[in-house]
Amino acid sequence: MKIEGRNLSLRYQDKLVLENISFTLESGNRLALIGSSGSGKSSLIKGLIGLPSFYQGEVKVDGNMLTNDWINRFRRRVGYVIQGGGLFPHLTVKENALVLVRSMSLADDDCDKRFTMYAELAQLESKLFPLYPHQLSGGQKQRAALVRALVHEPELLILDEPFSALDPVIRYTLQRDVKALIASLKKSLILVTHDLNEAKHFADQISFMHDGKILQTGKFLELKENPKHKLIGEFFTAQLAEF
Amino acid sequence: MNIVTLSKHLLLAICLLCSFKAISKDIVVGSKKFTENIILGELAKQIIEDDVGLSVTHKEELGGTRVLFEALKRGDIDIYPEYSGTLIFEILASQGKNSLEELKDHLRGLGLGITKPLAFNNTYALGMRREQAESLGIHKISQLSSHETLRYGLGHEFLDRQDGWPGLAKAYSLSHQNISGMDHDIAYKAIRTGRIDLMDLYSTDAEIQGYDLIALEDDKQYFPEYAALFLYRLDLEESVIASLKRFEGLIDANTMVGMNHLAKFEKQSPEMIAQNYLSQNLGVSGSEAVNETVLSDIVKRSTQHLYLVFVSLFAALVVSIPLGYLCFVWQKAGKIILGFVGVIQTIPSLAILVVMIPLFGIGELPAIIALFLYSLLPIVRGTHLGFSQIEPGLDFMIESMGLPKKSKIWRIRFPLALPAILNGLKTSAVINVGTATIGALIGAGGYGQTILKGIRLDDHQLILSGAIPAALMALGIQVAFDYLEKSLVSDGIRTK
Repeated sequence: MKIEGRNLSLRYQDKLVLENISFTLESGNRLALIGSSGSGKSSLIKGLIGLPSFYQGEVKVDGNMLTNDWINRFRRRVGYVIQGGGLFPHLTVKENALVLVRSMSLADDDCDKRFTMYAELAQLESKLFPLYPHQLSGGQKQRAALVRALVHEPELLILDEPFSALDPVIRYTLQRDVKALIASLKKSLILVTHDLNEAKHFADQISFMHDGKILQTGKFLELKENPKHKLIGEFFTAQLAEF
Repeated sequence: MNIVTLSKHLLLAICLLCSFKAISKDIVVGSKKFTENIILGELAKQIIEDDVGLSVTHKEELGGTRVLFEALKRGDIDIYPEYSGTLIFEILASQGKNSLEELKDHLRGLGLGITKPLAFNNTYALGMRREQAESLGIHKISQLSSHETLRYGLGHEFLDRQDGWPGLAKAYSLSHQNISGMDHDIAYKAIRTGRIDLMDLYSTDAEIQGYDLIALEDDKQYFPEYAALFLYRLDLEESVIASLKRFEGLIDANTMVGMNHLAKFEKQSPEMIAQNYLSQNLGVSGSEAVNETVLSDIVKRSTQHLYLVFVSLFAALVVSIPLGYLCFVWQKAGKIILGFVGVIQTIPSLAILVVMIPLFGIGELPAIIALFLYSLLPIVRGTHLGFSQIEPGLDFMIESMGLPKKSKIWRIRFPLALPAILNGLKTSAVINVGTATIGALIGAGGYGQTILKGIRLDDHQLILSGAIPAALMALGIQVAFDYLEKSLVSDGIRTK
């Protein structure tokens, strides 16, 4: 699935949250959106899979203009994980994972098979299946959310700060497992993060965002060696510095 | 069958049920909520049943003159005992008519008729405890103006009526400040225990003698004549009206006081009193008086009460949940809807009931509609709260997963909102149990009937046999809803 954004702007309560953003994500590519809090990373994602009419500008999916008419079909080709997991609190882990595929008229057997397969891939322990979100730890929630984002076999995975707010050991294990999983599934990926290290390991392209604009897009090394903006240099120095 | 069709079917069933009740046309006698009027109503019921052989229903203890008069005009009742002074002052005041003949003419225009007076006059009077009156040397109303510290307990109707307190105070230049409005039967209790010094009396009340009160002389002849008579609809069969007319000139004041005494102090039922009177004076065997046991009475009242509470609650549920959801999806309309149902909640229940009589008559229907209106706010608000309290992150997740609209609502949003919706329902149900007791005033039955009767007869046991089951019902509903919550709400979001 190829996604192109052209001149995207988003205004929220008199504030320009996104300003003339353009980007292209080729099928199978992995893009990291990086920048500090409030730079517009999450807004870009939310606009993309939320309501296209909120935007000015256009999004094309495989060359077709994304409109309200078929946004739900597009959404079902995307798997989405947010900070904290975003699991539905009234459903068990398994029900959460299957809520979308069950609505897509997939046979129960197939649903179960897929669930077991992706739970194994995401290393989600089977004793957690019947539990509710409030009974899970932060890391377990993220694994469950990841399974939910994969069960309908999307072409694009969007991970919005999935590892934030986890304690370091759990975060490290989870990052390692997710990276291996993504590598084996060969899906397109958009990762929203403010962690350069994460961006470097998960993505082949990095877009650096600030104040609703993309300041530079390129490989990790390009941004590190040839920052086109003073802020990018500072960001790299601050995050990679040793003291 | 989905929920919408299901509710349509149930609604239809309720409408049919209500209309069937309206079609079955017995003769209905009404009576006000004091003993004498109920005995008179019972006399009318039994004599008609015996003379004409028709089945007659007696709706007793309806609240106030307005309720009965409106119900008579609408045809919800066919006959009720009334007093000439009340008709002239209360109902025809604006017409400037004050003789019985003029009254008759005016009533004919409304399709109503009156019998000749029964031969006793139940006028208003002001009463005091005998020993207090004697120690203060008061025996007539004009002497009251020099005793301004006396405490008055006056009936609500008396306080408002043209021929009641406002006119009396003017006629005798009484400027007392110490006046409380209270129920007639409560006032007897208050005067007996010395909490008030003066009350309005009906001159045939058995309590006057029983509690050693004296009626002060109306030395300026302010109070008009209140000749007891029957008021009826002219569309009644001749034979029924003829039967009623047998009472004309028959019942004198002593007889009436005697019957009131039997009810109040000998605890005889109005049915029994009427039956004995008819067999002794008119040679009428009368219908077999059914003596209800306390238990069968509680069962009957509980059934009526539950019916009122649950039919109104169900109707409110069918309307309020969609309304609450509408408030959530369409916030502008939501503000108006929430404001509107909030305003309804502030209208006093008695006012709603009385306003409803011209539209829906008396009985269960107006009571159910009033309860329905009161049930709206908690459920609409609960539903609105339930849907809007989903936090923004989760809300976006629901929208962006690609779920079909149906699944978004029925799999995710509705189950998440359910605890708040159930809470609203529970609140409405519990409030309904309490409010439904007022329904007795317009003939809807239920525990209110038992409580009213207990107050009227000053019978604490009877009051409690209405109040305790009502409290238990409220408690039971609470428990039932807790159980319902346990079985319907996901363990993942249940707090208890």
